[in-house]
Amino acid sequence: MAFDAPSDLADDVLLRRFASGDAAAARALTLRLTPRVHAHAMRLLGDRTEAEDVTQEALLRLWRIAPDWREGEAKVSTWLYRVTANLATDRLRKRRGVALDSVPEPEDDAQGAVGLLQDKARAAALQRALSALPERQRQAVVLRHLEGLGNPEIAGIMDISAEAVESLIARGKRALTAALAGQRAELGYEDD
Amino acid sequence: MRANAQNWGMKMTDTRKTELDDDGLEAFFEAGRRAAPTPSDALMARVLADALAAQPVAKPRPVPRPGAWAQLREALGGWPALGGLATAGVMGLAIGIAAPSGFADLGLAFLGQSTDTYLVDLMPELDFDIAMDLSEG
Repeated sequence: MAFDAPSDLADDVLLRRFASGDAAAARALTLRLTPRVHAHAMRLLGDRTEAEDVTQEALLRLWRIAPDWREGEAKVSTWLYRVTANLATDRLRKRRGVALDSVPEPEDDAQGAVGLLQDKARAAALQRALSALPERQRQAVVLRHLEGLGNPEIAGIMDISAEAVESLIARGKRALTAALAGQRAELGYEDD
Repeated sequence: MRANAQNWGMKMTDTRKTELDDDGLEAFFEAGRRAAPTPSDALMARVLADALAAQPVAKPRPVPRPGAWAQLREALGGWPALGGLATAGVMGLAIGIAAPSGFADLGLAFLGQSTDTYLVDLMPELDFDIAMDLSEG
């Protein structure tokens, strides 16, 4: 057991070790999964505090379900993306009715390098445009184009057909294109 | 659906390239991927604390109860004592089966030459029966 580093093991193998009381597996899973869940929550919510709460809650649910996890039945990442999206949706519903102006702007730290600033500005503009999309479109676009997942996995996460995923992504991208069209010049795309 | 996973993946990549080259979205997505939000150390610590708190406690390995043989061995003084005991037993058996010639001399040295002193006729009547048979025959 001491010969295979936890970082080389599959998520579900680590989860089984976690459930049997292996503290190294707990650390490895935390290091591996927290950034992924947090990034997804941030992209769905656009708010750091809420994203952190959702991340902690999603992973807490994973820790609790670990002893009953059936290896090979579902991917840990698929399960986590789904739980994260559900928790984010709950938060967004609570937020409804709140004026659009009070929706948090993506954080934009001051950067010295112009390139980095431009990159940050583009990412921030994208985040603002994403936040304006309907939830399901946003989720599908984020999973495909920011998390880099394929259609079958997205379909599994969202519990819809692959064709429905395609449709959501196509509509989402049309809306993003329209929202971002006016910002291309000011974000330095003339130089690209 | 599962069987087409590979095709879907390839189609996705191809479609993404052509579509996004057209509408310019890919540059925004690239920026979004590069600017992936990273969790704070405090969040990592909170998640790990949750994990360790929710983790089932590892079951201690049961200590096997020593069997009857193990208990006897320990009572006799462990393996060294058993080794000595076994050697003594084997030597005794070997001497009993095929005593080295030296042992006879050793016996004589201890007991002296007058071993015949100890000859005892346990069945003297047997001599009588033989004598009778001879005289009658």
